[in-house]
Amino acid sequence: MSIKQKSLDLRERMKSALSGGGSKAIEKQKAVGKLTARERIVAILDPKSFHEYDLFVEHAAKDFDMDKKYLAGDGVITGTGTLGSHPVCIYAQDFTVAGGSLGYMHAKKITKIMDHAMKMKVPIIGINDSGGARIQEGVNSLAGYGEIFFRNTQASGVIPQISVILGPCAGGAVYSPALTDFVFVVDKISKMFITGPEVIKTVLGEEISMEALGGAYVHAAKTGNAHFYAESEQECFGQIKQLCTYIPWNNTKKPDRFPKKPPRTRIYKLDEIMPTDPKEPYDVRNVVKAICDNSEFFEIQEHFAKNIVIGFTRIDGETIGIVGNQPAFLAGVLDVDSSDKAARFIRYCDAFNIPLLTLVDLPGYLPGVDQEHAGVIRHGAKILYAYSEATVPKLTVIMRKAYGGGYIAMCSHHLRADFVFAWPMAEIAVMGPEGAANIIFRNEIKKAEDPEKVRLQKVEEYKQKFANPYVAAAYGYVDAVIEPSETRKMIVHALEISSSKDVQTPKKKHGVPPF
Amino acid sequence: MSKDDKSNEPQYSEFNVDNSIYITEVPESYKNRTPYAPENVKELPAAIPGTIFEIFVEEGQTIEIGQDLLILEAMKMKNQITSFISGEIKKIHCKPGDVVRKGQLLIEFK
Repeated sequence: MSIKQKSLDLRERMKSALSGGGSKAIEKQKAVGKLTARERIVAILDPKSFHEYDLFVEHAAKDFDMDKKYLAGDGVITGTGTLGSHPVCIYAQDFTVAGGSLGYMHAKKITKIMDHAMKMKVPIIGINDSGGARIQEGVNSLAGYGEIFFRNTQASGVIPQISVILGPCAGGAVYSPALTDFVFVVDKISKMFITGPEVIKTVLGEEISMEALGGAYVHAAKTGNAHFYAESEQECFGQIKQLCTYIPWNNTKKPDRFPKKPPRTRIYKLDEIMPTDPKEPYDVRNVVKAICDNSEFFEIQEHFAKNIVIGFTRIDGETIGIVGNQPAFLAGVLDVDSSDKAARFIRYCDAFNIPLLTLVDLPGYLPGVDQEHAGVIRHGAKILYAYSEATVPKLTVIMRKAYGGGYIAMCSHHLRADFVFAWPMAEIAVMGPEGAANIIFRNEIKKAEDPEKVRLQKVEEYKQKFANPYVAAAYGYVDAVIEPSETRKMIVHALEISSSKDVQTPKKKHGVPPF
Repeated sequence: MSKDDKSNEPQYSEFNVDNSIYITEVPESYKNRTPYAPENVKELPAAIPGTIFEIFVEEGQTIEIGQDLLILEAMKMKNQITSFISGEIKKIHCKPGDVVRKGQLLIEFK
C-alpha cells in the first residue's frame, strides 16, 4: 500500500470510530434534547482546540458474545484542549454506544486521561452520560469505577475536577462526581441516584419518578450534590466556562488576575441595601455586589441551603471566595446543610489559593429537635474545622448580628482570621438582647410588679451596653470598626498586605475533620 | 421537584431565634416539619417493609425483654424481632404471610 492508500485506510477507520453508536442511536439522543458526546466537548472547549486520543481503543470483553460486537471508542471520548486559552483534559461518555456503559477499556481510557491531567497538572472535566456498569464485563467494570474513584481522591486539591452530568449517572457511577470539586446538572437531562425507582418500588413499595428521586433540581436544591443548575446544556457550558475564569489551573498556581473594575455603586448602594431595623431582611448578595469588581458575583449552590451564600467574585481583579450569611432566608442561621455547604467551599478555596471573605450577619444556630438529631453538632463543627485549617488570607466583615457560637464559627479572630472589620451597627454578643436579658435578669423580671415592663427595660439596657461592636473591639477581637462605604477600600488593602501570607502548620499526615 | 415549584418573590414571615423575632423567608420544609413525638413503647411497628414469616406469641401472653416475638422477612433476610419491654401482649395486628409497610403496627402491648 502506498502512503496515500494508508492514509485513506486511516480515514476510513476514523470515520467508523467517529460514527459513535450510529445514526439511529444519535437520532434518539437528539430526540430527548441531548447533544452527542463530541458536540458537548466541542461546545465546552475553545473553538478547534480539541484533540482526541485513544479513538481506536476497543473493548476486551469475551463473554456473552461480546467478542462479536464493535463498540466505537468503547463508549467514551477522551482528549485534551484549551478552555479560556488554558490547557485541560476532558472525557465524555457516549450514550449512543452501548448506553455509555462502563467496561474495562472504557474505564482505562478515563483513567489514562486522568493520569495525564495529574502529570501535566491541568484540570480534568468529565461528562457523565452512562447507563452504569457494563454488566457483561462483570467485576472488571467494578474495578474500573474503583480506579476512577482512587484517582479522583488523589487529584483532589491538586487539580480542579469538574463533573458534568448530562444523562443518567446511577449506582456506583455517582461517586466519581461526588468526589470531584464541582458538579453541573441540567434540567430534565441529569439523573443521579444510588438505587433507582424500580429497586425502591420492589424493596420498599414506595413509588417515585426518576425526576422526583434524582432529577437536576433535586440535587441542586435538596441533596446539595450539584453545585450548578442549568435549564439547558448550552447554559451549563456557559457556567463551566465562567467558573474556569475564577479558579487556578492547579494548586501551585493563583487564579488569573483580571483588570480591576469598580463596583456599580449607582445600582448597589450599601446604605440602601442595609435596613435600619436589625431584624429586617436584606439580600447579602447585594452587599457582595456593592463591594466587588463590576458587581459580578458567581454564586455556587444557589438553590441549596440558602441561609448561607457561597461563590466567587473579584476584588481589584483578584478572585475571592465569598461566604456570607443570608438574612433573607431563615435569618441566616447556621444549620446542618449550610455548615456542610460552607465548610466544603472553604476547603476548596484553601486548597486552591483563593482568599476568603466572610460576611457575617446571623442570630446563631437553627433551633429544633430535627436539627439536633440530624447531627448539627458534627456538621456545625465542619465550619470551625475548615476555617481554622485554612491558611489562605481570611478577611471577615461583621455587618450586623454576630451572636454566640455563630460569631465564633464565621471566621472570627479566634479561628485565625487575618483581618476582622465591623460596621458600626454590628452587634457582637453572646446572644441576642432578648434572650440574654431574660437569662441575666430572670429574678428581677419575675419579682417585678410589672414583669413585662421590667423585661423590656432590661432588654434595652442590654442592647445599649452590649449590642455593638465596641465591646469586642475593646478586646482586639475586631481590628477596625469601619463605615460600610469604606469596606471595599479596607478589603483591597487587607488583600495587598496578605498577598505573601505565610503560616506554619503543625506537621501531620492529615487531620481528622468531622466528615 | 423542579425549579418551577418555587415562586420567585420571597415570602417573609416571623422567625424566632433565642426569643428575638426576625423577618425572613421561612421555607415550607421548616414550617411543615414533623413535631417531635416521643416513641410509643407500647407499640411495635415494622422497622422495614417485608413479609411476616412466623409469629411466636399470642394475645394475652406475658413476655420478657428479649423474648422472640416474630420473624419479619425483608431484603431476603429473616429478621428475628425480640421484645424491648416486659409485659403483656394486648393485640397482634398481623398474621403470617402479611406484607407490611415500614412503620405499620405489628403488636400492641398492655
